[in-house]
Amino acid sequence: MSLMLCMFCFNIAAFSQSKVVTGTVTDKSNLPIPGVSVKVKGSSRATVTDGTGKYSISLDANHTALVFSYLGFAPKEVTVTGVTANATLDESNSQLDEVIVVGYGTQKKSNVIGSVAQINSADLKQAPTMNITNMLAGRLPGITTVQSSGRPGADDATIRVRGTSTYAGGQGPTVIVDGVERSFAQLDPNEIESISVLKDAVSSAVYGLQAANGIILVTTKRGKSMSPKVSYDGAIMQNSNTRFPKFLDGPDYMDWFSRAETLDNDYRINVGMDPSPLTYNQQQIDALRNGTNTNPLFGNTDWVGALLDKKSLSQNHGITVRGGTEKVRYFSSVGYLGQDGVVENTDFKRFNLRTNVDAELNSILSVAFDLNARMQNTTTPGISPDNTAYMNPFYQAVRTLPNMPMYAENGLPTAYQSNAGYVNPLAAVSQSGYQKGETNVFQSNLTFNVKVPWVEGLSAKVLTSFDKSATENKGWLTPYQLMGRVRGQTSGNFTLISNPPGITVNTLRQSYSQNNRLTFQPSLNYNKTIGDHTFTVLALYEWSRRKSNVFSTGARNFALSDLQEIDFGSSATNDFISPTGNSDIQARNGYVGRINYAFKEKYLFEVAMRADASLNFPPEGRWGYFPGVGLGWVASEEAFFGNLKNTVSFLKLKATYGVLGKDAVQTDFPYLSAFQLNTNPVVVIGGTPLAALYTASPPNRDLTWERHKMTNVGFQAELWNGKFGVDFDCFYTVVTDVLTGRGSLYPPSLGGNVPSTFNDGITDNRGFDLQLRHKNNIGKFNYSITGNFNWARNKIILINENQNLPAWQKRTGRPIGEKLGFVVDGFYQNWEEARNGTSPSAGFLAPGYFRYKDLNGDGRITRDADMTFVGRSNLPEIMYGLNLQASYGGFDFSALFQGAALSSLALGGLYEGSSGTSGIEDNSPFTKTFYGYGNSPYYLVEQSWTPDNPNAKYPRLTSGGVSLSPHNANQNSGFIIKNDYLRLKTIQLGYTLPKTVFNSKIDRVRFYVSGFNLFTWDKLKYLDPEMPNVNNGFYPQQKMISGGVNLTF
Amino acid sequence: MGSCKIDYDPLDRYTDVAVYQNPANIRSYIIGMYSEFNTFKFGSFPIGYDNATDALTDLMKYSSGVSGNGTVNILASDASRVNAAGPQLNYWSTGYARIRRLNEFLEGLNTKAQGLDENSKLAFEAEARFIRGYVYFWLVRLHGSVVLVDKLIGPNEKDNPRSSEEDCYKFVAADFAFAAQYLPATRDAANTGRATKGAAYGMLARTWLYAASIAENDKKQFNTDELTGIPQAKAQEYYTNASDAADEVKKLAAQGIYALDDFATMFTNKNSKEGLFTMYYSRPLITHQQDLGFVPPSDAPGQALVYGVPTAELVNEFEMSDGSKFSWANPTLAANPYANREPRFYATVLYNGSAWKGRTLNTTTSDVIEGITEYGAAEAKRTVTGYYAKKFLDQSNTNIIVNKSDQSWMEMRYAEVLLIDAEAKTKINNIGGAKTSLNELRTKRGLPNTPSQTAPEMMTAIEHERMVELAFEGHRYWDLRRWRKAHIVLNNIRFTGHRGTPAGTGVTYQTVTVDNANRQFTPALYYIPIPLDETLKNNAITQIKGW
Repeated sequence: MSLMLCMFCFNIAAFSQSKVVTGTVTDKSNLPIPGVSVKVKGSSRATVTDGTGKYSISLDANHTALVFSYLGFAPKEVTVTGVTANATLDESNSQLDEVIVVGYGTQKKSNVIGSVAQINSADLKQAPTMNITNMLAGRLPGITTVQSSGRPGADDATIRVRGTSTYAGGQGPTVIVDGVERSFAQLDPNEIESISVLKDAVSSAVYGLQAANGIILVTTKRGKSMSPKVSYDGAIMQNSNTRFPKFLDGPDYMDWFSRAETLDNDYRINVGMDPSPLTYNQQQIDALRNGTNTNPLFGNTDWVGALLDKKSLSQNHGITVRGGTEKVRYFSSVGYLGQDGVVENTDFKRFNLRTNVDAELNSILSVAFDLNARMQNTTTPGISPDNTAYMNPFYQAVRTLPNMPMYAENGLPTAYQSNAGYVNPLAAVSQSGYQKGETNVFQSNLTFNVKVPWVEGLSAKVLTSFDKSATENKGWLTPYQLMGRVRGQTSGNFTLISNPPGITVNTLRQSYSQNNRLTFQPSLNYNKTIGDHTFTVLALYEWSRRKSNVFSTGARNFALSDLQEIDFGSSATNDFISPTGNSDIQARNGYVGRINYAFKEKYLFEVAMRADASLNFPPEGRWGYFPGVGLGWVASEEAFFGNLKNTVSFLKLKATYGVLGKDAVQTDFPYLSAFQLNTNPVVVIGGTPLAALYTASPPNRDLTWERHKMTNVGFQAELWNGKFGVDFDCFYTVVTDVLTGRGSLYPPSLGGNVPSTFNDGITDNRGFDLQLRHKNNIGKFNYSITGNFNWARNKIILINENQNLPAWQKRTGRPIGEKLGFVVDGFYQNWEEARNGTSPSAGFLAPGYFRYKDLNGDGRITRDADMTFVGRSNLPEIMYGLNLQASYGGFDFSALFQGAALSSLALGGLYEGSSGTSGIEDNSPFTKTFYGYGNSPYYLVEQSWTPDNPNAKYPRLTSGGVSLSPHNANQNSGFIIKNDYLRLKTIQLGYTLPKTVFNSKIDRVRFYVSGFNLFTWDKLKYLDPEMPNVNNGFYPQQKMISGGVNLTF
Repeated sequence: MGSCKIDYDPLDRYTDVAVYQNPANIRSYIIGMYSEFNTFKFGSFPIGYDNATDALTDLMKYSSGVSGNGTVNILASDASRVNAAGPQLNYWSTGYARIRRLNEFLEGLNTKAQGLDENSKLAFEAEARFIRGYVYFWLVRLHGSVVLVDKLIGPNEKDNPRSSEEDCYKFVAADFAFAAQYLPATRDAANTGRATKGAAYGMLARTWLYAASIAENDKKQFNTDELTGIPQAKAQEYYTNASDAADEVKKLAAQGIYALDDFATMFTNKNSKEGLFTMYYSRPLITHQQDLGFVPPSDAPGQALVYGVPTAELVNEFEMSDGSKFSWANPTLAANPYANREPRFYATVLYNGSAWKGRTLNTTTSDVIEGITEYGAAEAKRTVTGYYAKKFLDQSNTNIIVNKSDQSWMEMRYAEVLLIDAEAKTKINNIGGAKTSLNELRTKRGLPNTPSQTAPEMMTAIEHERMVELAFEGHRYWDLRRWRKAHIVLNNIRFTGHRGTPAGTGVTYQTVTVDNANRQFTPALYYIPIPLDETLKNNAITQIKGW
């Protein structure tokens, strides 16, 4: 303020000798550029262009040149001759001046020593609007993503920064939005200014305990001093599945099923059982095939197709307003996203609202006030279409039989009794009721900034924030009627089934959960330049507390079911749903210090330190200290660089080292000896159902922080003034004191009397991130190519594991997350081989079973000796992207190819939560024909072992009607596939109308079409390479085609 | 700058000391331990389906041929399914988890419950040892020789050897004997369902009977393991112990605490005096699925599970109402096979022509919903023997899908105590005492006294009586094992059903096999292997020889 007052005085004093110069600053396509800094060369006088690119500045006789500069454009100097000076700025190829958001501040890219990657809003918006986690794949070096579900509202990608370096606790990065820990998946892309990823220890040391898995910093847009600019973005999208295999149709099912039963009878005869008659005869199959079937039980229905093969529409609209004066600046946005799922009754709606205001109150004090509100509405059928839900519609679709009509003669949907109950996926999504979730998020930041008046360069800042998120879920389950038949029934008719699958009475469940977080973050910042020495010092304290609680209740047996409110439920005691509820609290605080020092912008030094306390540890181990140090050297500034600088315009070498911490204990309060109460009654005593107290796991008073020691070495280079750019970082991390459980180490006879968490184990993680850029223009044709590549490989150096295991089963020395299994060495081809074969499972082996390798050579196949590591982790070691962008005149084009490699997927084996099943080894519908007595995909029956197909891919064809040995259900290499893939992730073509076409009130009109997940090249062919491990059907990943418009006023 | 508060107390749990300072909390703690008995309700352990162990024997046939509902059939005909990696009959880790909880309770009771008076402390300790004894009884019944842990042990004490089978039974007996000494004889209304003196004596009698039978019959014929088997010389002492414990229960019965009840109604009577130890259920929170699992299909169209059905072998075992044997070879009896049988038959089995929930059952081939079907590849979900299991069903429960089931489960009945007493006394040559107990039961069931005179005759009579009286209660399989008869009775044989075919106005019955493969019980199965997970991690334990 004082500075501006002085300028103002100076202006008045100099007025008589000066002239006022005005002009417009435009880009090459003649569009005005607002916010360009206009400086008088050789003076401190400066202004910025307004919303229409116009400026006005007074110029005295001693100064004749103006310098125009704006981020992303090459600076331009113009000598003023009259009273008008227009300037056309050329886009810069260099990224050196780009402002990078780092922890608690910003830095010029040329000064960054750590490993930080950033993506700005323009690049982010090349993908259709949706969940932001899915927009990052392939765009940032060092980020790995896996998206395992395509369900609207539940389609978050799993994000990892530089893979993972620990085998216990959460492995995802911490996300900080505008200085506070928050989620970012459901922000509106229109409100995001930049997303940066802090990957090394020195850049994330200031986040201490939350930084071990990397930090994602999201910055939202803020106002600018310019006339208001209003933008509208709108698009409509069509969604369809990337892939889901085609399942057998009715006649083909009966035909294959009969072949399978014939093979099963071969099994029965060979193991001394009586053969069973075939379920279907040839006449029935022929009748169904040629349309002469009259049996009411038979029909031909493509359940999987009817459930999944629809196309759905989504749309999004967003309006933003941005502007301000010198003193008050604002950014407001409102956004709407409506996604309809391909599965009936599945949708997601999101409303985003944000206002960020900055005000300079006086020369010392400024204040920033950010408000963000968001509402998310998720709707699904009563029976949840989640991959992890038992009896989910996908599970029902792959299990129900295609040789049934869709409806029985009385018009009710048909059903078939699979092993789990009566299934009909279509009735499940259309008649089972609904699950509605509404999440309301309110987030606020209030920041005071004080420029300490008597110390130049010293400022103090206090950030306070209050966030609250509340979710209400309302689930209405209602019994529906099906006409069912049992397995193998070929005569008679369907029977009325009133309560599938286990829904006996209409039931309403409502739950309310909320969490709130308070953050208090005072800090001091000091900037000082003395000659060639530049210092920046940060001191910060942070405290945050998160409280959450949940309660739920419900009612049953509604006499009138039209009004689905608890009041209308039955008041009989038997119909009560007992309420549940609990609370949780977490708190952390820490001190941060950081010093940046630069000498001649050539030698860079950074040291950072954070001390943190976490309630997850006992008082003795509660505080952790996390230092980081970094050095940078801009070699291209050295004299010896000489003429090389014409080619290599910038070269910086850098190295950092630091320690980060993690407090992810396996249970809350692992150092306290405590008792918990069952949520539900467990036993009836004295005629009353009673809940009981039970002990929590025994305490461990020696717990302390898991420590991640990270080294990062890299360089940043630009050639030919930024036409080519390279960012390269390689890293090595050692993790000690891994916070992990030891349960699996002890014999069951100990009864589990083991603390939940120990500081056990050491791991390391190494790899590199590379970004290569080329940017150029040939006349009106601009183009850029950006390639990202990252590789990360971890290794367990020490894990507390059973010492009696054979060497090939020990995890020590192996990467995290590798899949254990038997090694498949072909099939048993005849009964003689099968009878002489051995198995880890009981029961008889048959021809067409996997032959497992006997690793220890004892003549037997046993789990403790003959399993080894046969598959990689689900998380790819390599992730890469190639981003192409081009523009010519009004046309613009972008395409992103994204790929992953060095990971594997299990089609059968150990269940990891799919269909409500965990820790069980079994086949899946994708590995065993007629699995669970359901239907099978064509590829599976065609590639299964039969005497005529001895070189098959999958084991023996079976109808499931005979109890074969579960031999093949053991985890094994035969069901593990490489899921390397390359995708055309996004492609977009846009056209901006020439200004002459429309009224000048409108600045810009752009139309575009874009696609997402259009093509995938991989080895799977039938299934999506990002699908979940071992599953029973899943919500497929989505392919989208969209068209939209951007308007700017 | 001082730091803000981060030291919060947990909001969702009690701290250790608070629990032991309030007897109401200790009660909540010990009550939770009773949930262990849910594992065993209706004979569902160890195969996970109600009455499934009886389906390993000649009493019941499970109707499904596929794994899941039909796993028991696969196990019954394929002994190779049992191995150390998958013992199938597996209670090991659940059992030891409960033992640890009980030992933890006992330790806390002795070190932290300062305010508690000595009598209350002993009563709580007795209760914990009652449950621990029961858990150990199962482990020992399965494996013979197991790891005995009588205190809370931590990670540093993980390596522990097996104890001898004899020591294991003594350990179980010591727990029950302690419980019997300090538990109250009765419980007030607010505490029904908790263990009592009679329950402990009953369990003690059962424990000694098992130990004695094994001492008498095993004779180290079935494996060479050093720790399994009990010296034959101990048999007399242990039978005497069993008889003594049973006498203690009989004394309590004499005081009116226990009595034989009406067989037809006691299984749906929540307060039957026959129950020495009863698990209770309460709708809608704690229920079970006995009805859905066993009712004839039309009780719940399309959804009745019909897990298991009575075999012809069981049906033939029921005497005529005058105490004479039934025989299909007798044309008069065969023409009207379900007339004039002893009363328990009508309370145990639903047969062709039974009156049931207001209808007359048709289990012949003419009924496509409830009639007999051939046992085979699929889940039949209807009878494969011509019979349905009636015992335990609640005839008043007409909407079993919604209501589920809440009839109580009597883990031990006074009838069993009398049968234990009869067997133990027979073996110690107190034939008179044995006959008194057996006849007391038969009289109550409406049958004449046993004609048996010699010890072998008495044993035949007792085996018959146990089959009939305790059918579907999960005893038969374990009886055949402790008598070391399983490898004879349950091996190389197919059990049968009676297929009724309408013929004119009547029905003709034909005996059909209901197994599609021979049953198999190898001698090794007398000792279920120690799970691999234990032998891999416990460096002091060895596998039972032969596995």
